[in-house]
Amino acid sequence: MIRLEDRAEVGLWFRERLGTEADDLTVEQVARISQGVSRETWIVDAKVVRGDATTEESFVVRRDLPDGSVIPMPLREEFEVYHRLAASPVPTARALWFEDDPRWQPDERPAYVRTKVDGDWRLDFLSSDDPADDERKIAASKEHLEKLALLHTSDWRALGFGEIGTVPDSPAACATALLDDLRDRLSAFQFEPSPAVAEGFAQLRATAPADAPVIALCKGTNGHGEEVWAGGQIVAMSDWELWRLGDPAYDFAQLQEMVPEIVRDGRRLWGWPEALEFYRERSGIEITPERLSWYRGCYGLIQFSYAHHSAHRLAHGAGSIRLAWNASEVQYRSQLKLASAFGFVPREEIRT
Amino acid sequence: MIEPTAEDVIGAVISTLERDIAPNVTADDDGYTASLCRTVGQLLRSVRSRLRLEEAALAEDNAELRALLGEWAPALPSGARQQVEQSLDPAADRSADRTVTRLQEEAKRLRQALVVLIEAIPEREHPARAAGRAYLANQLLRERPWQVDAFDGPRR
Repeated sequence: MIRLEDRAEVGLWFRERLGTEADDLTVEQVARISQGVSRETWIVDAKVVRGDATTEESFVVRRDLPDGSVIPMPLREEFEVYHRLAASPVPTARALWFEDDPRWQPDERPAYVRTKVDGDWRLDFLSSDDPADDERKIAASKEHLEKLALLHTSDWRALGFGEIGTVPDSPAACATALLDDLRDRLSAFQFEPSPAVAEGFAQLRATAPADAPVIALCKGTNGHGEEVWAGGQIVAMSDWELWRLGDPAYDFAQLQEMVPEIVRDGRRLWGWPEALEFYRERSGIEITPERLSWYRGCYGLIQFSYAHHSAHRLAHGAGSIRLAWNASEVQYRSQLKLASAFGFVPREEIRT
Repeated sequence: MIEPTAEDVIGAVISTLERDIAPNVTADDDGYTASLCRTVGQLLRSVRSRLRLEEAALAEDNAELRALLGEWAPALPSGARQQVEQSLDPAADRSADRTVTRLQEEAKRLRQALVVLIEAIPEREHPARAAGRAYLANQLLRERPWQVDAFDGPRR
C-alpha cells in the first residue's frame, strides 16, 4: 500500500506503472480537488524525463470515497469507458492504468490513473446577455453539438462498449432497456419504498417511445461544467458515470446549458429547434420533441437512483458528509423532478 | 434537564463551525476541506429543522395515506387489496408509543402499500392513481421545510 498524500510514495508507484513510458519521474505535488462529489479526484503534478527531454505533466487519480461511490457504477467501469474511448475520435483524457494490486493501491483503495487535459470547465460568456457574446455562445453550442454527433456516430461495437454495457435488442427497445436497467439497479439496493418512483416508472412504461433511429454510445450528463474547453473547442469530454448504449435523446435530456435561447429584436438566432437541426445535419440522427421529453422524465429516476444509493451506503455505516447530502437534499430534489414530470407538483412549488 | 434543547446545541455547533473553524481552514487542497465545512453546516440546519417538524409532519402524512388506502383498497385486484389492507391493520403497529421512529416505520409500511396500489392500477387517470399523486404532492410539501427551506447557503 502507498499513501496518496506522500509524494515520494506516489513517485514510486508512477515509476513502477509507467515503466518504459518514462525514463524517470519526480512528483512535485499531489492535491485533491473539490470538483465533483461522486468520487475523489486527485491531481498529481510531475516532472517526467524521456530521453533528453524533461516535461511537466499532470495526471488524474480517481477513486471511490472512503465509504464507496455516490453513483452505483463501479470505478472499474469508469476506467473501462476511458480505456475504450482512446481508440475513438471522441476527445477524452487517456486512461493509463487501473490499480488493483494491493501493494500499490493508495490507502488500500482501488484507483485508476488518466492523463490530465488542460483547459477550462466553465465558459463565463454563456451566462452573458450581451449581444456581443451571441456569436461566441452559438459557436460554443455548435462545438458541443459537433462533439455529441461525433460520439453518437462512433462505432461502439468496434470500440468494445457492447462488452461492458447493456445492448438494447433493437433501436425500438432503447427506452424500455433504460427502464429495465434502472429498475434492476434500484432493486439491488433500494431499501425504502418510494411511491414517487413507482408513479414515474408506471407512466414511463406506458409512454415509452419505440421510434429511436439508432443505438448510440451516449455520455449521460454532458454540457457546461462536464467538458474541458481550450481555444474554443472541447479538448476532453469528461464525466462518463451515466454512460449507456441507447437513444441519443438520452444525452439531449441531460445536456447542461449548452443550448442558449437567443432572440434579438424579435428574431430567433439560436435555441433548441436550431440546435437539433444543426445536430441532425451533422449526425443524420433526428431527435424528436416527444423523445426528448420522455428522456427528461427519466432524469428524475436516474437522480433518485444515485441519491438513494447514497442513502443505502449511509444505512450500511458510511460516514461521508457528501453521501449524506446526496441522500438528503439531492434525493428530495429528485422527487421534485419526478413530481414535475409526472403530475404531483406541490402547491408551494407551483407558486414559487 | 430540558435546556439546552437539541436545537440550541446544534445551533452552537453550526456557529462554531462557521465562525471559528471554517475561516481557519487553510488546507492546500483546492478548497476541498472548506467545501466540506459548508456541506456540514447546511446539513446541520436541515437536521435542526427536521428535529422540530418531522414528528407532526409524519403523523399528518400517515393519517392522509391511511385514509387514501382505506378508500381505494376495495377497488384493487384481490392480491393487491390484501397487501394494502394488511398495511392498515392496527396490529401491524408493534409499538404503542408516538415516537418518530414508530411513525417512520408506519410511513414505510403505508408507502409500500401505495406502491402496490400504483402498480396494480395501470390507468394513469384512475381516481386512485390521481389521489396517490395528490398525496405525493402533500408529502413533498410537508418535507420541504427541512429539505429546501432550511438551507441558506452553498452546500459545496
